[in-house]
Amino acid sequence: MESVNAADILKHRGILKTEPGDGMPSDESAAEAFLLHVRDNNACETFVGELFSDGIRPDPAFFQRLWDLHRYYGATPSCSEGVGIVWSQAVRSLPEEDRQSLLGAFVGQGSPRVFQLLGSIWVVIRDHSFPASFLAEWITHMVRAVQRDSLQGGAWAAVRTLCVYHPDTAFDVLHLLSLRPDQTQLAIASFMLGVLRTCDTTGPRDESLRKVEAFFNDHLDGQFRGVVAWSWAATAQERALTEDELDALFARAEISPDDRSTVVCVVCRLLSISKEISAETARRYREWIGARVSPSLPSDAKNAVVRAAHALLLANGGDLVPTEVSGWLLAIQPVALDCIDTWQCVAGALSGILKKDLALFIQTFERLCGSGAATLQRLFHGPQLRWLLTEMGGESMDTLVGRLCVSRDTETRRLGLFLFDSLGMLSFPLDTLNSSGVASQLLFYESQRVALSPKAIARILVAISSSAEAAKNGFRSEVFDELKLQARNFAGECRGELAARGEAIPLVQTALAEVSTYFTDLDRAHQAGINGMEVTGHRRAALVYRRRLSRQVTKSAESNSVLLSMAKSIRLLYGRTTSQFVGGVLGPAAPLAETSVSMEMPILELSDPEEMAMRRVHATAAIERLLQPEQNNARGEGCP
Amino acid sequence: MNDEFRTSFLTYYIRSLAERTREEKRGTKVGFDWIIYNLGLAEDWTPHRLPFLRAGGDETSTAKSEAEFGVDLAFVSPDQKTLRIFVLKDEVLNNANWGANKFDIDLRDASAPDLSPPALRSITDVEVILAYNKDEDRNGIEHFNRLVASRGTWVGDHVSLRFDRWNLTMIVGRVKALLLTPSLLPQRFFSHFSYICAQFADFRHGSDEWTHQLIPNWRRFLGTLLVENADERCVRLLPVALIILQEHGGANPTVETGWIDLIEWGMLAAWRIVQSAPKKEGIGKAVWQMWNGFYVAELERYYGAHAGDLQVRHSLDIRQSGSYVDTMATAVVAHWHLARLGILGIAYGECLPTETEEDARRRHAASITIANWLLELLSANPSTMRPLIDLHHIELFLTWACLMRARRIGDVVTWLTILCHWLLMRRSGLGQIPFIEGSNSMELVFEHVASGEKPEEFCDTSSVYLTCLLELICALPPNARDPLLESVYRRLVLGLADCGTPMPGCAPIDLLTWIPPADWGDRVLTQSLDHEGECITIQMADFRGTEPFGGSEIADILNKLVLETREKRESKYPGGLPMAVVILACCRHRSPLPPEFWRAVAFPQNSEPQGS
Repeated sequence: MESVNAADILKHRGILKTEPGDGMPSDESAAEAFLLHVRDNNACETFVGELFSDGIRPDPAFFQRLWDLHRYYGATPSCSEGVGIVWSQAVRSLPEEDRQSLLGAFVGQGSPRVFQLLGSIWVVIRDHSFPASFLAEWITHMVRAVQRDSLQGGAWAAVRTLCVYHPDTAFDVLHLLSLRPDQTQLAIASFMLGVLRTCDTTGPRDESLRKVEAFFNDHLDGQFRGVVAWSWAATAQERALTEDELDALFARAEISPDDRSTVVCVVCRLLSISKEISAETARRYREWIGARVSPSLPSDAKNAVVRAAHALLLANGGDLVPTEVSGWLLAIQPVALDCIDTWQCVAGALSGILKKDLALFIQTFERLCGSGAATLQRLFHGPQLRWLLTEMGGESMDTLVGRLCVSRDTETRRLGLFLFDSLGMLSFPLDTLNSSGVASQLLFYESQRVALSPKAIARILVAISSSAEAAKNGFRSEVFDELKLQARNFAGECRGELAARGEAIPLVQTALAEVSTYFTDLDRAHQAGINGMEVTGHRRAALVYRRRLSRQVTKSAESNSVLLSMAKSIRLLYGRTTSQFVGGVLGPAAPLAETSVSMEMPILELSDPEEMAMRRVHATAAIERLLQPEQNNARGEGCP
Repeated sequence: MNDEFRTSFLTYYIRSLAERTREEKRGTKVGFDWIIYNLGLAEDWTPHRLPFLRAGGDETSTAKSEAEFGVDLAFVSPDQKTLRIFVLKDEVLNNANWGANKFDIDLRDASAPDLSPPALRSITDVEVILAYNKDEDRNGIEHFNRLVASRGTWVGDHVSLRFDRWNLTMIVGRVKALLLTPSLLPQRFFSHFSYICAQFADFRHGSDEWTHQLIPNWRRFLGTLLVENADERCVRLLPVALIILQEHGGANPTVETGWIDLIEWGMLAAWRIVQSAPKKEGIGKAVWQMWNGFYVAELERYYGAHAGDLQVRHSLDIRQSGSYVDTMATAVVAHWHLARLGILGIAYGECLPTETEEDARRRHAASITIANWLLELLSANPSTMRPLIDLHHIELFLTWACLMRARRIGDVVTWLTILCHWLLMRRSGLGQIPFIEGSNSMELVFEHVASGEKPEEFCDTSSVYLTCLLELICALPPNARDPLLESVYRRLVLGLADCGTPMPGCAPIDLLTWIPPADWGDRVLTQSLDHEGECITIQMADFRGTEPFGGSEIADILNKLVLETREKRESKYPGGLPMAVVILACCRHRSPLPPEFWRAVAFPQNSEPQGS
């Protein structure tokens, strides 16, 4: 294809500014002018003739030339429609088989190019008739290409256009889509059914609609029955549902657990997307959902419930949190770890609650830990929920963290300790330690079983030390030993933090005094050469280990960093600076930057792994002993 | 090594030398003329007359046959003004030898030198030195003094004459001051030994270079020096070589342990000479002197000097890679120290005198000292309780033997209890590091830890170590023995949790014991016997598969095993070798220890088993 300057053509037609340096107007005026221009059939025909003076062929260059028009008018609806009209005019000049090829080539571009003209395709569908067999397949391809993306709206707009402008063809397409239990095709079918329901379906079309509804309604396969349920979501986007329609939808939930799950999803979606929903209808939706949320819901239904809760929270602009939100989040627990999207929505809802009602957040989070503490902790470790941690860091979490840390549930305690550490809390809330007779000991032993930063360990020990001064039954001695152990284990940060924060606590000071000569003695011993000898094979093993560690770090960095996973990693061979040659342009040289992260290793884990393991075993036994009387008492209450 | 010992061993060596180095039918007879020659060179004197020709393809100078006129060696001072003439004698300076061994004639001849050669034209002083490497008495000295008085103070009209006398003490003193170099050794060892000295100065003890270059070199040197028909002089040369090595290792941070390492190889080679020539009393005496005064004394000095360091917590830790690889290396170092302390303890028991009550008190005090050092090491360094390979049963036995010898039963119980707990952590997988490797490959242990994957060849399903541990426990009183036996057997051997179910991923370990080959005593000093002898598998369960219940039942089965073994397999201890030497040989050659070493104490013969 020869080079055609679209700008010149547009300027020549007076729909693009001619002065150099004129920027594109920020409003839609230019795009609207373009749209008005191409709405004129003659003008459009001439424009297409000039734009594609070298002929129209179903290849990437055709779509590129259309996409170029957006450079001058922006990605506005007017421009998209104008481009669609130009595209449609170009199609008009093609024979029938080439028209299908052109549409096929558009979808065949795949992601991300298919998104460029997705907003214009509805015009082509509106203006031209295509065989149902072609459309059924083409729409399926198009939806598959975009279905996981938030910018998929253009595809559904095209399907909606088909239903509205070519309802008979749409019914034929619907029929073809219903032949196979394909998830994508059934999703398209439900959308089309929902839209067709709102179109003019008098006469034979009404018959067709009833037949289609009956086909899906009575189907033995739950997936097919789900098409009817989901079609109401499409309908609701067009108009409000009637009372009868709602009743019919709710009634579908009683058919089977699968149908109930589907209807829960649909109703949750209705709550989120319905236009001009009445307060009464919204109340009905909420009550209906509220009565059906339970831990037994399948994961997609749980996801829908959380999304609905989040939508409720967002829709409520005031400081009040809708009463259902917290309840729904808790009622669907447990949510599996691999339901990342659901957890992200849960986090979104929690964040919304946190901003509006701290007490409710604490209450909700604490109850959430009852079933999901371990899951939450694993998610907090990953990139998915880290932002929530940042938001929590901006509020006072003392009460929550304190309570979690001395919970009777192991996973909750561990999450509490993780939060204490991650939120960088400077001191442990002492009132929590006085909340029960075993709180200090629970915290003490649990802190021995989990990995914490040196500073967090020191802060916890300082808190425990102040309450352990008067302790009996050897606990004071254990705390004292632990203080010494950790001062040796993390001789840098932990020892420093103990010294800084434990200044007024005699137990801490005595322990630090006892280890003060240790490091001098250790230096002297090492300089004496008693451990100076090498061990054959050690050097090579250290090399193998470093390689393994390097591989693990690289892999972990890539899996946890979106940037690293997308960017290509290039190993530079020479030089002190680097630059890039991209698109024919050589960029400026930039110096190589070095980044490094250092952290203090718990030295005793390496020096004495068996003792550290034994210490954890001892801590586990101690926790069991501490909780046993409570458990026994709890069991004993019901006994005669 | 203290100065007194150094002087002694140098004296032993120099005294054992002949006057002249010469080739005989039985080999080269080393003379102290070579030492005097090298002392002269060390003083920066120029040789004028030598008793040998320095050339020679086999690196041994050949003796001259020309007339000497009393002059064995002569040197010219750097300023060309002084001529020093040496008259050498490998005889005692006394009245009998003065005439009979030509002290008198040779000194008179030497004091009338021919100064006509052009090289001596600027000489203004002549010094005649009588050097002898044996003792002296008053009469001998009187003869010398009279001769000096009678010879006057001039040679001719212009050259002054004076006399000097270098006795053994003076020669040793000068050697210590000037000649602790490879030059002190006979000429044929010079280049090889110089190379060894350079390696000793450069290589860290235990490094790959040390193990693969220095040790083979050193052992080759020992093989050349201590051939089967070696005489006492060769044996006496060994400590001298070691003293020279020590001088060269000054800058090496691992010089102390490295030196002990080399001494050990030397001692094994020397004991091999004793074993092959039991009738040569001189050699036996020399090796005993070396064992006690050199090796054992050095161990004693080392641990005396470093006991304070070893009792600092984690003082043996190696921190190089920040991984469990370091943890493994630390355990190897810790077991090295355990073995040396143990050998020192056993050696004390064998070499300290036993005649008087005072001797008995000293022996007991020595065993208490060793026990204290061991307990402090065990307490401060948990790596001592981290056996990595099955051969670490030697260190297990040594620790046990030293503590038992000091009658520290309570400490033995505490130590073994902690050891079992620590082993349990590893057996259960909680301890982060693998269990004991049965095929004794540190390479596999390192690979396992470094790669995070267990190598196919890694063997943790069979163990002599655990059998040894069980048998050592049998020496304890029943109330301490039974719970420990039960704990070791159920947890470590069978891999059962306290509730009786198998720990995750823990299959039972097969217990083994080793019976050495009949001739092991002849070969234990020279090679590893790990793939020789007989390996007995031990089934503690009865024919129905019922495992023994309780410690006393386990003890009974072990007792029966020992009785059966003693009855059906002959056990012969190699005569003439101290036990500590045999244990050292097993450590160095990586041979398992014959179980009778500990069974002799844990299951004493002709007595009822404990607890039965």
